[in-house]
Amino acid sequence: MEELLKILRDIRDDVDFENETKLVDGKILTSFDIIQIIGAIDDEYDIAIPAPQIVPANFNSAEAILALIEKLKG
Amino acid sequence: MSLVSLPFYIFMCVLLLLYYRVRQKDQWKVLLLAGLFFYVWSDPFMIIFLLISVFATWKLMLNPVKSHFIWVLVINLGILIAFKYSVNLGVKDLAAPLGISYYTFMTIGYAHDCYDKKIEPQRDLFRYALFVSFFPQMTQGPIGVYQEMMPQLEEYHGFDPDNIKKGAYRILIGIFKKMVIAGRVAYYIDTVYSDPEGFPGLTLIIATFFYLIELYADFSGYMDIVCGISKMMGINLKENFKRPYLSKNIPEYWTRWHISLNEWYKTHLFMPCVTSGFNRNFAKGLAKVFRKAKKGTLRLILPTIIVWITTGIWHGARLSYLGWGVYFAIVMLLSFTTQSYVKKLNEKIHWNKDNVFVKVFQVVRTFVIVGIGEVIFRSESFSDAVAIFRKIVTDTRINASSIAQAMTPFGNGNQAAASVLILSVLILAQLIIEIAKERDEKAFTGHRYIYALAMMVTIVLFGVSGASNFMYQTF
Amino acid sequence: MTMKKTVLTIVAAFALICAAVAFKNAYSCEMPIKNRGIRDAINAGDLKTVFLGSSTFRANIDMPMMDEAYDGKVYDISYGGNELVATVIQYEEIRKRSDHEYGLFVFELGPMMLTQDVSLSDSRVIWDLSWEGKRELWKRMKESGNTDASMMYEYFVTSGMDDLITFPVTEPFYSTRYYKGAKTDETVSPGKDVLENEKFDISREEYVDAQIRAVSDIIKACRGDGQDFIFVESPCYHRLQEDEKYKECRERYLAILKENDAPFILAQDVSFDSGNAEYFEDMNHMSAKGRKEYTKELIRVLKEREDH
Repeated sequence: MEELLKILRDIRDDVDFENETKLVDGKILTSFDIIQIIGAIDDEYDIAIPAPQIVPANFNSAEAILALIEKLKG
Repeated sequence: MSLVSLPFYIFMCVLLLLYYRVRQKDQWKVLLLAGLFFYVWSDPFMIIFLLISVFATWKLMLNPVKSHFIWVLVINLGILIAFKYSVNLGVKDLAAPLGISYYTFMTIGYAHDCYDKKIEPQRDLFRYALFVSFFPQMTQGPIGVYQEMMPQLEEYHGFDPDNIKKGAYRILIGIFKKMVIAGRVAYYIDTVYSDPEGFPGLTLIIATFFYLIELYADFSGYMDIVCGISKMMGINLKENFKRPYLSKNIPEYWTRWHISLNEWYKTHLFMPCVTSGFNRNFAKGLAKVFRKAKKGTLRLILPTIIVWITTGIWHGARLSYLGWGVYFAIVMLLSFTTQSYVKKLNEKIHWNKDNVFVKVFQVVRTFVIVGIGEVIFRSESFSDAVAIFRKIVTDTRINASSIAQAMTPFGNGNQAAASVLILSVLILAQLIIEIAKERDEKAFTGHRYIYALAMMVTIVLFGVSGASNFMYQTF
Repeated sequence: MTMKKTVLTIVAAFALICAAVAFKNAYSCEMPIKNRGIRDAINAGDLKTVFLGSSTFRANIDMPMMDEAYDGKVYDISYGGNELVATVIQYEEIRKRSDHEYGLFVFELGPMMLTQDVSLSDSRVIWDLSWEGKRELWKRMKESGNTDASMMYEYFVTSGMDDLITFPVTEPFYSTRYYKGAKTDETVSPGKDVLENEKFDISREEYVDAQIRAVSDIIKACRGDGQDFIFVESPCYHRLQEDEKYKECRERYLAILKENDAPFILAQDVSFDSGNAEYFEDMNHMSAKGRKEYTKELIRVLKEREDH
């Protein structure tokens, strides 16, 4: 989780990723942010996130993102 | 049928009567018939292409497998490209069927979402046809999204006088913007842009400023009319504009201008590009060269270029459209590749984003950058665009003589001062209203009857539709 | 409740619109505009000489010099693109609304006016006319050509509305550009090169019957009122003066004048160098320099005629 938080903060240092649970629904992250997160995850974990998985539910919180990563890894 | 014409208003009266009188379960059918009637009236022979697209897409997507999806793309894009780019393909310039750019995109959006299993395919051909043929959207959008529109189109809307009133008010606003603001600057822009070499720098700057105003007033005014008409039928369309000229940077601008088109591109072209294997490998390749690049930024480069070039040529087969696309591709690329450097710079100079002057600077800067793009878009040729930029930079003087010269393209000779005054008041009023609404959406909603009165009077007494009937001598 | 408000709003809008349109059509001619137009001319009292023409007269006659020559009892009524049918109505309007004495009416002999469509060339034309005059001009426009609903709408509703609404602000500004109906701009010549190469092509112009009839109408109207009058052709740049079509139109115009025994002064009757580029701003309009030179000579010729 710490690794992931570091990546997220690198993209948006003004967002409280530890506690926020409405990153997409609350319009906190823009689509550019999402794309950069996808790209960063790919670079870091070598995981390509497929289009159908790019939905708000998977990106609303750091936990959700981590869960997605775990799911795709496994 | 133009949405600003007498036949159309008669059509609407008849439609509304039928619409609210039929049985609940038949209401959507009235809407479908209205759409087809509207199309046949406006562009009779071309309806065949609409029908081909509707039937083929519906049938193929009942079983949303890859091969079917590809067929849908080939058929729809094939027809679109054939018409729009017939000039480039060596055939003479064919007049495109009404709304083909818009309904094709709506169709592809639907198909793509079916293929991605985001939505269930529509089993009923006629209900699907209703989605594509909804007539308010036909001429200039907004580009409807199936899952947002279908429930509204299908469900029964009981007669609510509030909808009629709100819809009519919205239409009034649209007509006002089109006829009193956009209409008044059109002649000036056309005159200057048809012969840029013949006008000095200050006049060119003013013409460009007017063009930005005209684009916005005309397009968003039309959207107001479209939304107003839909509202009268109980259907709420998504906003296509959100005070775009108050944007503080270009990426923000594109979330406020022609919103439905940009969202379509984001969902159906940009995202697929981003997640595609090709882009992935391309970005990884770039990462080897640009080691210090922020993670994720490189992933944006190819999709941005593809989307912007496509957006450019979507407008048509002209070089200026392509140039416009390339320009904004470069601007957007610069925008996010330099993000971190700009941030550091801002910190160094204590750039306070809440400061009013900073905000004004950002808005003006964005406006100018958009303006440069629109010069490219509007110029009748590449050399014209170059001439305009050159003259603005080298031939702009601000003195009594250049100001007097700048009045001449108003076209009513020695009466230009009155037009200028009225136009300035209108533009200023629009600006004030938008700034107020930016702070509070509910601003200026209190005294609607008075505003309606003012708009009606102004439209009748000062509205301009098309060029003047009289060739006012400019001596 | 809100239904009532809606109806009220629409009724109020309609009332306001009708009031504005009615006011403009009936009273625009009474609005106090200065330094130009029919009303100002009438308020100037008895006049020795009144010029009635187009932008050519507006640019090519120096009113301060005319003032001196005629004790200030002169006026120049001119509108951009003014044509003959409108001129008849303007003359009749002045006669109808004014009780004053006018020594001489000078009408512009513009050969190309014979080929102009009967149309509205300057919103000030209808602004200056009374309601009857406006209707008369519209009637002539309809008789002579292709008018449609949108033109009628523009003519009676929107034309001049801009000026009406902004009157307090724009009038002071406009009035400074005129003196006794002529423009006060100190225009300059763009140079011989420009004038020699300026393109114009009038070879395809055709006569408009209504304009040809209007020439006789002017003559008849003046004679009917016992009003002394004369037609004056202002010199234009030599290239236009020597143009075949221009010469043909001038001959046609002269034919009508001679037929009616009407007096005239041609460009060649006034000693003025049409070939001097310094004197002209474009093919028709003189520079300030040319205007002063021409006016001097025109005054001489007009006074000579008086003495006979």
